[in-house]
Amino acid sequence: MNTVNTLMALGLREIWEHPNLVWRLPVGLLVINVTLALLSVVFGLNYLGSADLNLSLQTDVNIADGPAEAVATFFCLAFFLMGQLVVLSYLLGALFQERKDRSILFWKSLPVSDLEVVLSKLLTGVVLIPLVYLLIGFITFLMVALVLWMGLSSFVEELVSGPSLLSAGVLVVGDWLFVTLKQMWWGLPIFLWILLVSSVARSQPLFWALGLPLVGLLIESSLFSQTVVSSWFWAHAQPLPLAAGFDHAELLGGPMIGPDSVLSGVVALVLGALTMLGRRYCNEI
Amino acid sequence: MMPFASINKVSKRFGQHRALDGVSLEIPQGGVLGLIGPNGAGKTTLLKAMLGLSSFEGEIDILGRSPRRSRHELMQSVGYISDVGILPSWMRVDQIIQLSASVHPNFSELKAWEILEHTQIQPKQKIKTLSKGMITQLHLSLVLAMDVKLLILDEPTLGLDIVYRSQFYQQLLETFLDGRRTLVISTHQVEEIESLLTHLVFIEHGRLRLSETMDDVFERFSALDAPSASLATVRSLGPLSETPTLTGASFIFDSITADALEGLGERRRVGIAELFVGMMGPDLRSVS
Amino acid sequence: MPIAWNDKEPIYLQIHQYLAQLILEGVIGPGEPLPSVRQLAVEQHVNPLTVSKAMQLLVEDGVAFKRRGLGMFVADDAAELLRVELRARFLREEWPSIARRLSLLGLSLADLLEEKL
Repeated sequence: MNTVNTLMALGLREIWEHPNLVWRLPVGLLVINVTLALLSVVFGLNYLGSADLNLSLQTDVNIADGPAEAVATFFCLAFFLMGQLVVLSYLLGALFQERKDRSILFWKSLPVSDLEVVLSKLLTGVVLIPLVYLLIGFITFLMVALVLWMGLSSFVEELVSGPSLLSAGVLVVGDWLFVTLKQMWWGLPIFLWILLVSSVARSQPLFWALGLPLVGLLIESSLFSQTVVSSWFWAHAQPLPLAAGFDHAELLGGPMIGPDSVLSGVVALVLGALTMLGRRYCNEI
Repeated sequence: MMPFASINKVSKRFGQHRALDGVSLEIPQGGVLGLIGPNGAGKTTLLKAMLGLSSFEGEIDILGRSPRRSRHELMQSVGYISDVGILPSWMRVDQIIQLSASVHPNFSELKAWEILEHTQIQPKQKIKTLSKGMITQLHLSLVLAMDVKLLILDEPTLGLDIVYRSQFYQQLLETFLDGRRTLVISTHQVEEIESLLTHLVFIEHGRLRLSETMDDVFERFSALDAPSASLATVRSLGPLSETPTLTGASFIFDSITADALEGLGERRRVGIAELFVGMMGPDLRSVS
Repeated sequence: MPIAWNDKEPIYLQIHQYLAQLILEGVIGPGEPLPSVRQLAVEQHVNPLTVSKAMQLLVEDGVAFKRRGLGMFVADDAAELLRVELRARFLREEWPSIARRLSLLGLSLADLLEEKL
């Protein structure tokens, strides 16, 4: 069977298996936000500061040029971070659950290679989920902005127009798409570490996924003056916006391929190979 | 017939415990092989080795492939049903059929749905809402739709009531056993598969105690129902086992002529369950 | 209808006897097709190979013949062939023990024929 077709079928399986994580949660957040926006307009709640007609978010970082950008950035960032948390949770269970409930015996009776399975889960977690969250974040922005602006335009004469609202949103989402893509590479070593733990842990994968690196940090700090390895690990464990310090230019700038990226790639490859072995040999708990 | 599958000096150790010890076996195409043994004998270990689900020493060759090296290619032609419900409980019936169709080259959705029509299973049902018997029905319909050449069943009817059990074998007989497809089945309920078997394998403590075709088994072993009067004489002939009956005792003999037993009682075909108990010893009651 | 298996003979021989009976009784006439291997196997809940073996015996004895792609058919002289064979078997295998029992019971054939009728 064609590998691409198989990967797509397996990807669909992941979506069927985790509807809450993959789409129900972000859609739920969308619904909550739009509802709050509507209620704000109708009942004068202070959702996003709309009651005071103060739609520019007060942050001390220069991310927004105006109210539309501010709101768009708020949603993109929030959904991005939410998505990253979901990715971690998803990957932690990805190769663990099927061993725990013994369904791996069924999956392995299908003509699907370990490589295909691991790839499908990796791609679902690292690529699909963040993109879904970004997309829904963008739609949330549009709908909330629409509601707020339509609701408030009766009070304020000079407000942002429809088309410029859209273009502001698109620009911000464009930036965040770039960040999301960068994050895929930035976080890859950590994602694969978690997937590896998922494939070999006999119980409590979270404990091992966090515990071992912490122990590593302890050991390294005791033995050496500088914790090179652990620092690198824990830096990559943070999502890019946190690691890069929320500076707009810093976030978007920076080369896509540099020495750190190559190191990430090598580490990811090694962890990926180990995960493959884990999936191959660790069948039952 | 060319050996369809061959198992050569396969061993498996779990720490100190030898689950399999130098097992060698050949399975011809079209064979229906019954793997009988008490709990812990090594049946599941052997089957898992054949499926590439566990490591082992020795060589296994199925359809020219090694389960160690080419598991996922082998699975195009091999199907597996285990005694524990291994179908993902979160999936729906229509989802598992759709998925099997997308990853398995020979899968026929039509066939799967046709077989399910004879059951109470609804397409939108989640597997976790199905009873154990229905899960087995579903799993069977999946492997039959995959049109596999070799089917490996590890106690598939364990814990099922008689209706499901009977229906299971009936379905197998109608759709799978055509003389060309091969079946390896491990079970405790020997009687219900006895008439389907072409080969018999007894396994105990990881070693094969018997490995013959059914024809050879019936030629080699004979049973004798003897009245109390002849018991002493019969015993002097060196039977394999003796089981008391209301009128005397039943004996099993290995390689004895009909003449030697003439006049001592009723000679008959040996039953597989009684042969197993006779060979393995009276304290192993796990075969019914 | 399911065959009542006895525990004396191999299953394939019992199937052979079952088919022979059907032919002798004229249930399957000369030139008519035998039930398919698969059909019989499913009906009697036995391995198709066992059924094949039984049918093969019929072919070897000339009682049935195979037509490529169409299946097995009863030969024209099947009934007569079967009668001859079964007669021989009866005389060879079953009669001696019956004869012994008759002498044990002190019955003669004349007695039997009178009693039975």
